[in-house]
Amino acid sequence: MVRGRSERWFDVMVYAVLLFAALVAVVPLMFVVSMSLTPYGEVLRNGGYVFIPNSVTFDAYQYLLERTKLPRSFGVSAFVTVVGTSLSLMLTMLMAYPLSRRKLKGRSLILLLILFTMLFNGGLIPTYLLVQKVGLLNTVWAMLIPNAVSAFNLLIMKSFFESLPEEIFEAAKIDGAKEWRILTTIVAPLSVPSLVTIGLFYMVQYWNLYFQAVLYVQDAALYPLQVVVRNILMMNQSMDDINVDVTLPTVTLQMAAVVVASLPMIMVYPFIQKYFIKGMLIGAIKG
Amino acid sequence: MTKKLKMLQTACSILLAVSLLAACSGNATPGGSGSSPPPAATEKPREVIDIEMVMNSWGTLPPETGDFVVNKLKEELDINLKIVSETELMDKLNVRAAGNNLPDLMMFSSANDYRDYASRGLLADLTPHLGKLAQVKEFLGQGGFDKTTVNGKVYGVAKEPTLRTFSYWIRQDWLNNLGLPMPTTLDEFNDVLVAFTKNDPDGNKKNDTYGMTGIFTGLHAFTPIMTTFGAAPTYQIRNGEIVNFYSDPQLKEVLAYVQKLADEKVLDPELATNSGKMPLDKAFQGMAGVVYTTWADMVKDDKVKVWKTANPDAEWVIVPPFKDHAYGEAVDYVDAGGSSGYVALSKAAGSNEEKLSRILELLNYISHGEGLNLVQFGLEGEHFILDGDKVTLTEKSGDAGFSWIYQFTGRPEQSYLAAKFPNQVSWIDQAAGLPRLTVYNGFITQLEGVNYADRDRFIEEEFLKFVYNKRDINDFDQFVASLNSMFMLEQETEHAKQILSGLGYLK
Repeated sequence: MVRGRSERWFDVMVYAVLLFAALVAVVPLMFVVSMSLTPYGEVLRNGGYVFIPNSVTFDAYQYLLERTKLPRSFGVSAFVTVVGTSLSLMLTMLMAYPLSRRKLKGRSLILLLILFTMLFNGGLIPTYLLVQKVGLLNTVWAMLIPNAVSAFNLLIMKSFFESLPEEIFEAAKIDGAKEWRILTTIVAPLSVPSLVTIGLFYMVQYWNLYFQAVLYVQDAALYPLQVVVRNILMMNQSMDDINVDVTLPTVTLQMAAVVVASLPMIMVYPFIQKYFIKGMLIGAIKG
Repeated sequence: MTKKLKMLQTACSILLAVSLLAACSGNATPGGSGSSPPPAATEKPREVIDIEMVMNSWGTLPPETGDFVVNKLKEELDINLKIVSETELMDKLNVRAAGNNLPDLMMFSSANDYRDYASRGLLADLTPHLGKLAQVKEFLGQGGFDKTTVNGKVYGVAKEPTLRTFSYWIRQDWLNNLGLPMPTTLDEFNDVLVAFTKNDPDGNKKNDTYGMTGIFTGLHAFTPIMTTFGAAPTYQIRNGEIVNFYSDPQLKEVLAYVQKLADEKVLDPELATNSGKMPLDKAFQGMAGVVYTTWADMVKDDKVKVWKTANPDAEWVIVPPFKDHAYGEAVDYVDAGGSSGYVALSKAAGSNEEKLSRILELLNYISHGEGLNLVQFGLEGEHFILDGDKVTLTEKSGDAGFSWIYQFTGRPEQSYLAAKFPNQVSWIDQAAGLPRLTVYNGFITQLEGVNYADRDRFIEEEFLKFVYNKRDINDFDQFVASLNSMFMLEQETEHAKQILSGLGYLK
């Protein structure tokens, strides 16, 4: 194929734009990683910004692992993420499936009630009182149960189930399958892209859990990662007269904490990406 | 189809297995305090009482096991003290108050929050029990209770204030490079800042330095200039008269001086957006030659290491007070009503007689002798050695680094710092010995009907306008008039006058 000059010029432009977009995304990440590996004094000598470290130290990571609550909170976050995601996915699926069956009686009322919670909720203090009275305060479950099912994700999953062809269900019924069997052996395997996408939504939500933890948990041993990381980041922002006994974390330490907190999610993304793109189109109008 | 299903099944079972494993490790902790060994001593008739204390300890936490302070308190007072550190302290206390679930003890960091809780009836009234707080009173003096008096009643104890050590710090090596003497007047100071900006004090042939950096909010960076002019936020007594900072004619002089600095472009251009410890980073980088700060931020061993790495030639020293003062030498101000925290009991803890008396015992215990040493330095013989009055820390003193969070009533600051920071003693003494104006802010309660957040924003904006020449400095009287009409400044001053007269500070 013969390519004209203007076509080649066009390609160059496309690559340039893409390269620029990639740089915009990668440079801040690289900056954070570089800072976390550079000794603080070195950072200051370079005017506070280091893109390519010329001396590398893992002191900050060592400090985080040995001297802070970070490893513990990492475990808490991993637990909350794994259990929370499985729990949320299961509950969401169990609720979305019946609601996707048009024959269900009272379907529109239940949907209305679900929609209602998206627009209105009890507010901070009533929710706190509820969690307190149920006896969840200061347990890991306070971080899992109050937000186990997201109405938004539920509706997305429901509309995905609705898009499955009705004939499959009829065929299964003729072969003698009951609802439970239809859900586990037909609907679930057909819905892997939507399950993975919504699973990812939940996973990120649990990994970034902060507010519930601060509100419902007192025991420092139960703090998830984000609470501990935020403490490390915010100390230097304080205008208060902090006790002289406190050693404030350096920028290097802060950046190392950020890396530790974001790395697992960044590592998960590539594996889920192919489902993710498919899943994002769920609910969108198809041709 | 079946292959996909198998995959899903495998994935599910892996998830389940991982979650079960994690559940085991995750649940191992909550019972921590419950599973600790029961107190060994059986001859004591008193049962051990659990006491919960909520505070913001800035990330410092006691070790989960082997906390010698907790063990010692259990031994001596039969209490099991648990510290809970909250970064969002007031948010957390507010929801807990709504849930009728306040902790036994809490440490407020601001007087206004403490007073708010006291007047809402959430705190235990300690007035009838003051007689039982003899050691606390001996340690803090009557002031420890004066500062916590709300509507005639005492609801808590005001922690001993920390030592005020702010002042200007300057790059001595830059002064030497430019052949300048240490500035002794405001005019000389101005000249030094100009020279630091324009004459390449670091000799790198680049125009990359500024005279001064700092934080603009509340004119924080300019405090030594302010106090040299005799102004200080917010309430001081000058020649027997109460003076409010914002209506003080001296403030106009301060703003005029700072405006000149801004005109000469000797200030860090990001001054208005700096926050927290950013100015220190800039100073350490060698971007500015003057910064208003404390010895703890400048000469603690780890800090010196940092700025020596960044600039091996750097030499930071304290700027002595300027001679051309209006009302006496001063590099800073100190609050006579200040406190580094307000310790209070919840109403529920106060109505439980046994708990109340143990808490009072606790406050007494940590305010004198053995208990005070325990929360300052750790265990005698292990973390420190006592020779008469002199405390020497041992090699293991690092293990007691967290003990300061138990200093609910504070500590004798200067002797504490001398023992903890032997390398910095001369700096601490020098910084603490500098002259300071006295203000009385800690005693002054807020007026009802004034939105202080709005007021602070208004003041901040107007200060910025004055300093960066967006508003004529001769408008200062109009600025004061706006404060009077919008935020009841005159009433507030009158209110402050009454409080200070009542306390005997004003005749």
